[in-house]
Amino acid sequence: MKTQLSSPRILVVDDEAAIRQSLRLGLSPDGYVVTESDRGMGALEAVRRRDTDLILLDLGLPDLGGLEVIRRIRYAQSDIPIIVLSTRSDETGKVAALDLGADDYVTKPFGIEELLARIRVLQRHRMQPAEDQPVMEAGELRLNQVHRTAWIRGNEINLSPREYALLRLLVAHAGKVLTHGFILSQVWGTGTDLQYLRIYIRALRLKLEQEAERPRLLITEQGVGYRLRVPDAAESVPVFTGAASSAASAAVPAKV
Amino acid sequence: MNLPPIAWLRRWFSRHPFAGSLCLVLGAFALALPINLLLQGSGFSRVFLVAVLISGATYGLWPSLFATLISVLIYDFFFTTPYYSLTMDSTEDIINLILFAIVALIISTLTARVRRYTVAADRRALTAEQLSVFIGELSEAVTLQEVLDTAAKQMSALLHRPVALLFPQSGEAVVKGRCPDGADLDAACLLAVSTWGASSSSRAGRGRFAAGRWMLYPLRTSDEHPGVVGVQAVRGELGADIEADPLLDAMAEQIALAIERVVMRERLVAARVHAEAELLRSALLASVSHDLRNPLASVVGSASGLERQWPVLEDEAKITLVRTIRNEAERLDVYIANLLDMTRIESGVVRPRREAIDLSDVLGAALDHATRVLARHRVAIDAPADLPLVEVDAVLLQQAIYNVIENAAKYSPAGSLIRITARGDDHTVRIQVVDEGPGIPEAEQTLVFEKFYRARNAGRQGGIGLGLAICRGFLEAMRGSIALANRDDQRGAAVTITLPVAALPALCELETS
Repeated sequence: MKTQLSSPRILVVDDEAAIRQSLRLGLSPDGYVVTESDRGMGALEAVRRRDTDLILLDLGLPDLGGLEVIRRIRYAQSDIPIIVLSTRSDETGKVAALDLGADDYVTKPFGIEELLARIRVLQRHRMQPAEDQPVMEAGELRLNQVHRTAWIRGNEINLSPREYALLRLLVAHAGKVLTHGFILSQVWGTGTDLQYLRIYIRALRLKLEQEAERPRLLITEQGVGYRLRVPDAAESVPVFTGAASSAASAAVPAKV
Repeated sequence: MNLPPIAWLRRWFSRHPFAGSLCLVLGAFALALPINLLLQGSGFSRVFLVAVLISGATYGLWPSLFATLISVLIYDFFFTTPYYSLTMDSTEDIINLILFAIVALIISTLTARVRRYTVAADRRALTAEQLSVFIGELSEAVTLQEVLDTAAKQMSALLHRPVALLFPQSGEAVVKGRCPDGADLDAACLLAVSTWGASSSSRAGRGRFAAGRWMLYPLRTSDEHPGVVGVQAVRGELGADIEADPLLDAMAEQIALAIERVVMRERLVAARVHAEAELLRSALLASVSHDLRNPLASVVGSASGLERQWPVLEDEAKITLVRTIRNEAERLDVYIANLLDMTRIESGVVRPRREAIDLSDVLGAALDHATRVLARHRVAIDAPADLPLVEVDAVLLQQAIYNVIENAAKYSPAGSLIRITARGDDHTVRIQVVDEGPGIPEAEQTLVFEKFYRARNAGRQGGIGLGLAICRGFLEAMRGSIALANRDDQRGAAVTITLPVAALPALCELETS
């Protein structure tokens, strides 16, 4: 992994030439090397040759469907980050893509800053797999895995074992969307009613959010799942030629 | 029979008028004998005249003439000399008898004529009454089938006979109304109706006709293949030609009129629906050409300006143009999303996934989504923690709430307060969004939920008048509702969303883990 630090490569798979071009122009200034493909097979080949670090994948491709591309990549044991470029009001497609192993999605049309934020979250997770560390952090949240304790904005909060397990999962994947199905299977085991999750999310919000009715941390992705929002970690991108966003760097707490 | 004897007799005599007349004359004879003895040959003839009179009034012309004949014979046989013979020897008797016969004849004809008029008047009155009942019932029928059912039922009840309404349809007779339900339609009748359609033009002028045991009356509608109304004949009624019955003719005519009426009405409704669809289509076209093209014009204008003037433009100008492009493109995205949502609602492809949902979750997500829209407003949320779960599609509800919040933000001044309240009982949860804008005139409070309707005081606020229509579409698909009113405490609009509470399986072992 560390060898990739020099120049992260992103493969854009979309059959719209205009979209590929705008993504190339939008991502290059942030230090990414962008390659393009208008076919799903292109993605599979790039994965086989290992000449890309992240895939932006449109779901409606002329040869292989986007879902099929994800399935084959994961079947080939590759854990390359995949961000799906989905269309609005296609929650089913998003969930299917995520359940097949896609890491996140953005909804077309999207601003480049939104996409960059998603990419940075995935890169950071690849570089520092959080789950094994004794202390996990995500924005204003900190979990001590040894003592199974949690702090928000410096204050310790009381969590039931299930609440802790749920929060730990969210922090471990901070910034990423997690589908209902994934969370349920990780925290409760399969076959559990979604209702439990909803009630626990509400309980967590009451403890974490400054205003539980207007959650800023624990975000509902309607029809898909939940996302623990973290301040955009722009400075964690290894090679960053431009000036780092001062707001973003200020919001990220110092590393322990 | 179970009729009382007198009624039975009356009915029997009414069916056998000549026997009745005979009895009347014989009765007169029985009275005449003692009168003749008492009065010595004068007055008895008047008794016979009374019999003739009654006979004429009761049974009509021919029975009364028959009574006259019998009376003359009896007169001649018993009361003129020589007695018990039809011969006469007294000139006076002959003159008396001739005078009697003339008077009897005149009485017969006069009373019979009077009777005929009375009977006709009675029948007309009955026909008119039955017809008016019939028309009254028919006029209440709204659909074609109702007309046919009512016609069969009412006619059958009025005529005390089986009635059927038959229509020729591609060479077959289709029974579209029948009373009683099991009325026996014989093959001859069905065959006649099935061929009636094929040759309707040739028969159109001929009117009623008989087939099998049925008398069939054509329904003269403007339809190419008009039907017939059939009345089952009673014995003896079916000859080569059916006796003209003004009641049946009139009824057939009324059925035809009623059919015409409902068919016209259905066409009118269809035309109105069509006109509304046309109106919507033109509104859609107007919206697409105006509301979609304007932002596009800005995009194209800004982009071409950038392209052409790049070398000479200040950085600031470039950024302004680029921001315009982005903002207008985002506006376009919202418009298109709204048009798509509306189309989904209109074409009925919105299939809500109704689940038990925590309202605060959806509300929070909608508010998070609306962060930018609400940047210049204060927001207060009042939702108790113990709100019951609602049974909704979370995605649709979030969109609906977002639209309402966006609307409130759009039409109320910057810095004003938008208050969101949620309250629940056993059956419903109500969310109310109140703003401090100008409110909406009462006359427009339901109109704002119509497609492409924009409130008069909406001013130049961007929007294509779909936001609230989509809300209503989504909420109704989820068995919820939405209503708009003005605040009663101060200026401002209040939108109320009502949602059904979820029937929930008990989640008892929540914290057992």
